[in-house]
Amino acid sequence: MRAALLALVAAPAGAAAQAPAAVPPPQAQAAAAHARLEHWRESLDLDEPAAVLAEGRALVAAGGALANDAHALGLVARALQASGELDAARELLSRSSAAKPAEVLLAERARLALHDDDLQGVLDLLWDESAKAPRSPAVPLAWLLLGRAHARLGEWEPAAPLLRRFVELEPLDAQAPSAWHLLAQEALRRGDTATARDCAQREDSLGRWHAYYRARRLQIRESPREPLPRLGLAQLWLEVDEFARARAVLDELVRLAPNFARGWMALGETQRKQHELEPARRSYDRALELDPSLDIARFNRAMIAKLQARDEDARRDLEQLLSGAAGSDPRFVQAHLELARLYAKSGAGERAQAAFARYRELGGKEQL
Amino acid sequence: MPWKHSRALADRSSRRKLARAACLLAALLPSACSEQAPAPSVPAPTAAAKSAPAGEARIVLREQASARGLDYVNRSGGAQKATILEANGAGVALLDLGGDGDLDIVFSQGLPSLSMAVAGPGADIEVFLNDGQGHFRRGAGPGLSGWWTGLATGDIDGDGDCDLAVGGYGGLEIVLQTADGGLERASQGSLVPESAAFPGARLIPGVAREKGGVPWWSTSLALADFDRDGLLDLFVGQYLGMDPLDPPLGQVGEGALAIPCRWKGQQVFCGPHGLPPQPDRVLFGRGDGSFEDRSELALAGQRPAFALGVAVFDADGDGDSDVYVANDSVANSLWINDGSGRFQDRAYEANVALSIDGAPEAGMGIAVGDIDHDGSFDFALTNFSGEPTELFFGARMGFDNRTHRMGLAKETLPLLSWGVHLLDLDCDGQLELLTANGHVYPQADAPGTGTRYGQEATLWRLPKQGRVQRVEAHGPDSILAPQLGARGSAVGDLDGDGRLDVVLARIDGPASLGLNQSEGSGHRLVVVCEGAATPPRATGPRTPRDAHGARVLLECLGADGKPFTQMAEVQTACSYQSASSPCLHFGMGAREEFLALTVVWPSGAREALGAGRGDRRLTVIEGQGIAREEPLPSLP
Repeated sequence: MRAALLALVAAPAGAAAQAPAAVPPPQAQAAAAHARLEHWRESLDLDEPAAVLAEGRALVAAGGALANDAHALGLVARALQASGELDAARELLSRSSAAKPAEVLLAERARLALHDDDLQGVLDLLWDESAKAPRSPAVPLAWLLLGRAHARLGEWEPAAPLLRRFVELEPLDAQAPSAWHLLAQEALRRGDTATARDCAQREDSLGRWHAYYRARRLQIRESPREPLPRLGLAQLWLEVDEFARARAVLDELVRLAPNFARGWMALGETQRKQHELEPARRSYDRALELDPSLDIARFNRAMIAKLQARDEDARRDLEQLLSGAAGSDPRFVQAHLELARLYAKSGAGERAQAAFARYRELGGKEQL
Repeated sequence: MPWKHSRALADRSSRRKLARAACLLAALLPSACSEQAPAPSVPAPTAAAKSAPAGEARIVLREQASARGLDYVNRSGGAQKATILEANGAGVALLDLGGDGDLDIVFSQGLPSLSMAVAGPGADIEVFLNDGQGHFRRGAGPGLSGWWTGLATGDIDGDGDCDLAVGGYGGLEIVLQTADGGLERASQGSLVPESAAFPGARLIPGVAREKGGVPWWSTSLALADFDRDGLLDLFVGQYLGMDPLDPPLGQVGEGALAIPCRWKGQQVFCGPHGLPPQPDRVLFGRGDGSFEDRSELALAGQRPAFALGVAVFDADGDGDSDVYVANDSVANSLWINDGSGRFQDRAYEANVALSIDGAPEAGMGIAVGDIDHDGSFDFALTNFSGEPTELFFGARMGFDNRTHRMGLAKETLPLLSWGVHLLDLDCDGQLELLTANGHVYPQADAPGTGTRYGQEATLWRLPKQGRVQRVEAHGPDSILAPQLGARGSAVGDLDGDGRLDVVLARIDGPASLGLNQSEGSGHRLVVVCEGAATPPRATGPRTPRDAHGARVLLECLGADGKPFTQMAEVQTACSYQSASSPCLHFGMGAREEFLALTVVWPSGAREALGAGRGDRRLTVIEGQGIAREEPLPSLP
């Protein structure tokens, strides 16, 4: 995916704006456009607006391939703003009245109004007073901007439900920590310390997550063939149960670094969490081929074998695991119990009791 | 738990004092603290009030440094700013040397290169003596050797004159004023330890050091009396750990996990992220020029940050000195004092840790004042480009961020601001906001950054209602005109006309001296506070000799005929790495007389000094009332 994405952005802007000789199918075009905009978003997140402008100016110009794509217009406007070209950003958004979706364009205009400290302007653009609802409820940014405008006006009470809706819609957005912060401050003003504490904790943990997320992407941009930053990125996605995104990163990782054992192990873990047991087993096989000392991979492979009723394979892995340093490592206490149960199931009572005794020695509480 | 910010309104009744104390005890019951100021008596308008000028004064800050002998030239490493140390520049302090009643100027000074900080020779601080009319000649320095950053002023040894604390990269010194107005290093020596526990903490130019040692880098300092024993203590803002023999260049981290030091696609110096933050320190004064480090007790539980700006003020209205710290790229701190010099960080609860959106900003400088005349202190906080200069207003619960409501964000987003002041330059009774600006990255001049390296100093009026109004430079000889970089800044009356003048410590160039020659200035009052030489009580809180922490309330009639109260506190630490005059300057607009003057001393004593005439310089001594009264010169 990454290589495809880089290939897309490497294409000259002018060429991208022209109709290609062989027109790809619409689905492929949409995917390419989506990848392009994702790359722009990432460039903006990583404080590299010039990368967006280098490609985007021509594409969103009148007659350009993305001249009526409100998402593209919004991203280019943001890049212009970050580069100090505020007037150009305003002009771009105001002249593109035919762009779709119109709601996205409206939200982008409101974002510029917020930048200009035109707080009432934000409310006028985005809030439908007669309906008592946002004009663009499907656009998460609109909820955030409305919440922010109210908060900046010191109107905390109306800000809170708007911000809550934003974090419901975009729980992992880079601006979600900001929304949690505002919710914490609103709760403090109501004297609701429990809610404030909860919101502040979410703000803090999500803020840290985003700091790492940013760092990993910077590292990948800097060293695209290095496996470690990609592994870190995948682990971040796993932390927040975004298995499909972790899987995409890891698929790319093992393609780029097929001899990186920890990559295969993480891929196996992701596949296991996606309930793809056989692919997970194969990934663990590969990881252990490359590095037999990966105890976690061995334990997890044993658990998969157990789930697949391959008790012999499971027992073999657990015996091998516990014959080494992991045998006295409290982190692997569960392995003793699993082995004891396998022994018991196979009628090896004495061995089962010995494994169970070791389990209890290491602090295990469950029954055999 | 919400942090309660109680109002410290300009009252004069013991009933309200008790009410305020009750408010602080009832921190969880904010509704208990909704006291209202009693309606003051409203005298008939004076003749001057009837003839109040309709228009605003024209604020003029005329550049006079070169013409008046202020030939300080800052050195701050190389022009390309390879390391973060070279970008942070110097501070400036205004203090009376020699007891002649005028303000003299001291600058910190850096070096031409980081390698010189190791190899030597080091720099001394630079002293400029005032002739009383705002003309300067060089004076002797104390003979320090280092790369100096922050300056703080106060009467450290209680002998009636003003001394200095000098911070630096690997250095922290106390410099006492001698009887003849000279400056001499205190006998305790450096306040940066030289022990195996802190290898390389002290950096002495010319003394061999080993790779791996990390100097303690102090930035802004503040002298104030935190434990209320009448002796000045020292808050030391510390920045980050950078080995001068192995500074990060191009990237932080190593190998596959290295992160390039880039900003808007430009290669720039590294930091602060990726370098270790250093914890702030609190040193308690013994009154003889020596200090004891009790940081662990005073700042228990502190999370090291990248401190750049430090300001002291009574943030919660309980009569002691609290500390706000502007940290670079991480949350700011509001250290609330329990009255004994033990602090708790309540910035988050008070809504002053982060931007209103919850983003950590690169805090630089701080200025404190009561902008809206509501009896609680407000403050301004300068930040990096792309982040606004923030305006926080003291509120019933913590602080209310009005930056965006007042339109200041849009004005300040392109600026990277350092020194900052809330001051009344045109003496109309309403504070203005002044910021000293300049980017850290020379690469800011590349296309597409949205900002530039050299930036003009900026000034805004802060109306009671509506948006801020930019005050333009009056001409090319204004200190607001040149697009140069500035860092530290200080304000005080340097030419003896009773109006505030401005000194800017520019980076890599000559300093600016902006003499206030505003046209149409209002009437003014200067108040100088002195603590009692002999404490009025044997026990209990005491006022420092130089009255740090004393709060002065001045009630005047406004142009609308309604009374309003201005509030100011004797604190010299503000802005960035700088110290301003301890004298309090009040503007009275068209009114020649004030309705009431009150001083609340750190000892707890309160002196109501009644009504009086403006255009005076009043010296108020604790327990003695107005001890001296001198007329200010007429303004042209």
